[in-house]
Amino acid sequence: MKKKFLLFLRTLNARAYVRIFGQMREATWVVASVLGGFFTMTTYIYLYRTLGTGSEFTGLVVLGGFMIPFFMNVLWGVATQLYWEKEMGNLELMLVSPAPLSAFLVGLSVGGAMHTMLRSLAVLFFGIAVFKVQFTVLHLPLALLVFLVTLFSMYGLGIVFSSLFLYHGRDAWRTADLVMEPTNVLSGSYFPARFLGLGLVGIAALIPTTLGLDALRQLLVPSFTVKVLDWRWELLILIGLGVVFVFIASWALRAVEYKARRDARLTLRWQ
Amino acid sequence: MHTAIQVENLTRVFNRRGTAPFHALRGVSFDVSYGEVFGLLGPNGAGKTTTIKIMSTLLLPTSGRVTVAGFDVEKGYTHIRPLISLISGGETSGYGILTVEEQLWMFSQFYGMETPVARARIEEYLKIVGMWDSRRQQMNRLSTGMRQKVNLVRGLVTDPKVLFLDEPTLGVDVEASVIIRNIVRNWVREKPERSIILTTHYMAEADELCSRVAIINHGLILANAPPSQLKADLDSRAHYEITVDRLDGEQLNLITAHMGEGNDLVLGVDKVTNSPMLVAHLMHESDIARLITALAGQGVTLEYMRKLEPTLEDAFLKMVGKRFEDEEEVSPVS
Amino acid sequence: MKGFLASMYIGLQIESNWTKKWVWLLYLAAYPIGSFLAVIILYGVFGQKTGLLPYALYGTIFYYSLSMVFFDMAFSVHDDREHYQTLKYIFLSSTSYRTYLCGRAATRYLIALAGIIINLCWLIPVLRLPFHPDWGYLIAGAILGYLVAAGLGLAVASVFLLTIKLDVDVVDALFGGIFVLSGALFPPTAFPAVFAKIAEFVPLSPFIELMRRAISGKILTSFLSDMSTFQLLGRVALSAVVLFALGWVLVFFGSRQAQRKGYIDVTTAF
Repeated sequence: MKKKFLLFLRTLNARAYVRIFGQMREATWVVASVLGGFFTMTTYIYLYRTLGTGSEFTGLVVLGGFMIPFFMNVLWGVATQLYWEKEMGNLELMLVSPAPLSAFLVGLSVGGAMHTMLRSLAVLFFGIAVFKVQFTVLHLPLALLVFLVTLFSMYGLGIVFSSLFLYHGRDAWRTADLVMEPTNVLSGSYFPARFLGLGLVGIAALIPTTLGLDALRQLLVPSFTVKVLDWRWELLILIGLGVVFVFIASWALRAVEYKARRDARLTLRWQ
Repeated sequence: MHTAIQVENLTRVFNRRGTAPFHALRGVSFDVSYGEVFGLLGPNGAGKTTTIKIMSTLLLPTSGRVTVAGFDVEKGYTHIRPLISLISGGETSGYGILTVEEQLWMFSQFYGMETPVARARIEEYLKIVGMWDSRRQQMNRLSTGMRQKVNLVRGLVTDPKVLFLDEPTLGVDVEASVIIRNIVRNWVREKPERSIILTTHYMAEADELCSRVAIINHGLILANAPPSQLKADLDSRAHYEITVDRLDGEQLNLITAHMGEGNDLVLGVDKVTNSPMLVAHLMHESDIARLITALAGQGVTLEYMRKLEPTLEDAFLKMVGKRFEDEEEVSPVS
Repeated sequence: MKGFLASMYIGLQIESNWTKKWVWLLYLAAYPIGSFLAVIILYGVFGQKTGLLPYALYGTIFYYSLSMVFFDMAFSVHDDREHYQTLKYIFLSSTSYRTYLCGRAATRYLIALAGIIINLCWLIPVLRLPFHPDWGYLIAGAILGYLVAAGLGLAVASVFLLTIKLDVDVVDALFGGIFVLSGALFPPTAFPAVFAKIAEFVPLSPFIELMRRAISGKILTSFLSDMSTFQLLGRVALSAVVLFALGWVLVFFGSRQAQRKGYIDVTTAF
């Protein structure tokens, strides 16, 4: 058991190393990614001003701008990664090794989250500085807890999706591309999810960003009242979602690997 | 346990959209013992890589049984993976943005190696392949030969019991190929509990390295024997090329008659010296003495003589070529 | 021309051969929805009184059509170099790389336009959008818009030829900035005066406003209202010529530099 655990940790560490230190080798992304996030945030802030909404929406958008990069990283940096590893010929080497696939993916998640954190914090800082947004710092520790739980749940979902990408390849990639923007919208990244109506919110709640953002807005934006549920309930749901996703991911990776070995999909490139 | 790999009646069928199923393997059986370098030869599309993929747990058999180090590839793959390593020729795998050292360390971690142990082995093997000075170079800056050397080190650093080499010298220059072959040869010699399964298109490589060779074509094993036996089975006659100062048709007829039935003599020209060259196919090696005596009797002077040994390539072509002529209708390749 | 058509064909295969034809047609129709869903919700919930829904919806849709062109061109370099590893073969062929990029992007553009047309068929009656098309301006604008976007895309592609790692973030930043100022989603008059003035000169602003007027038959806001539709067309034409020529030249120099640095066939596998 100890040996398996150490193997998991070593693999996680090695894969996270690639993501973290590989990124540092061309640091232009730091400036560019912050600017990109800042521009997206600015777009929606001025949109709300055009629509004549109150200044509290600026805070909502800034928080959305903080969370969106994580969701993007989950979708494109974690979920699709096994597809790219297969295309580059790395997947077969990873599978021939005794390291579990989940360890690679958790390593990717850790590396990706650390990389994304820098960007998101910079976007948040610029958002606060340029648009003079005010957040409540009283609930900062609770907000941090909600944020970490949301990350745990989001990356769990990403690992579930990665098994789909492992098997389906291009089809899954295209589907992700198709649903990316609607998912951003439905998860309340640009506006309070409550405005979608209970039915849609119920579905959108499966995306951890929806409830995570809603809870963060309740804790950090003093005037935010258009909530889906009380943040305590949302935190509990997020924990539940995270646990469920981890279980599904663990089963799905094994099941899909078996299916892929049977159907000769593990080394099939350019599907 | 002496058997590293057991393959029994292995079949593999690929179903493809819009075409008939493709039978890549049609009942393959062989064993590989520990301490052996086992070669798998065959033309393109014969089923070599499919066999390797099944043995290395990347692919499941359609039917049949394969065990590696005593574990079944279908159910026991988690026990097999710590014991094996795979090196493919023409590999573009790895992360181009990492240095050689980082890349090798990363893969060692996937096998749970402690970092100090991994670093020591990486240093040892990089020095053997002559890449130690390049350890801090990024992978995307390496030439094909250098990459393949790094791939070889990657496969060896984890000290596997069974090493799968799928065309390891593909696209690699002569010097790098020699280094790779030397390492392969010594690696098994160092520890007899290791085995190598090698696929290659270079017959000389298989002849040099393999203790046993299986020739596969259209998913079937055509032969499974040591290279020397395959060559011996090919043609039991002795063959010589003899360059002489002069020899005309009449002299040739006389000598042929003297040598008797079963001994064939063909007159040609030595391309280097332009002198007449006699190619002799003799029933017995001892007949060469009679031939030389007969030539001397005709006043012919020998300038140069060499014995022609049948090569593994000859054996391969004979088996595979024959099979192409005899082949039944097979399912179309997708 | 053969090279351009072959590139269009490759673009079509890359976009479509991952699934059955009918599934792909559904995908083609559904894809643009992501671009305007937020617009419909936000303007529907918050902006009914502003009457700006047609402005934002038409603007976003036409921005989307051009974004497909420049994103495709920007990412093609990386795709061909790292993923398909065919960049070196394209360079060695008799078709210039610029022609190849333009061909692939042209397919992307046509696919985007097809998706837009399909969606406008239901958006216009359901949302009661103003629809008094001037087909001349629409077609001219569409062609010139492609050239504007292609020019931008070529310029970015020339930069990517000289970087070995795909910098999605650089593309996002550049085109994110253009999107903010382009007036696609809201009139730039909402900005402080200096940025509102800058927005008038952003390459895509005149194109988007031209297409808005060409399809709706109206001037919907005060942004660029001092220019007639014909003047807008002139400005778009000028942008198209300048940007396309600039992009064309930049790729030429980018290619030469990439060849000198050995970047044509390098991979990072990051």
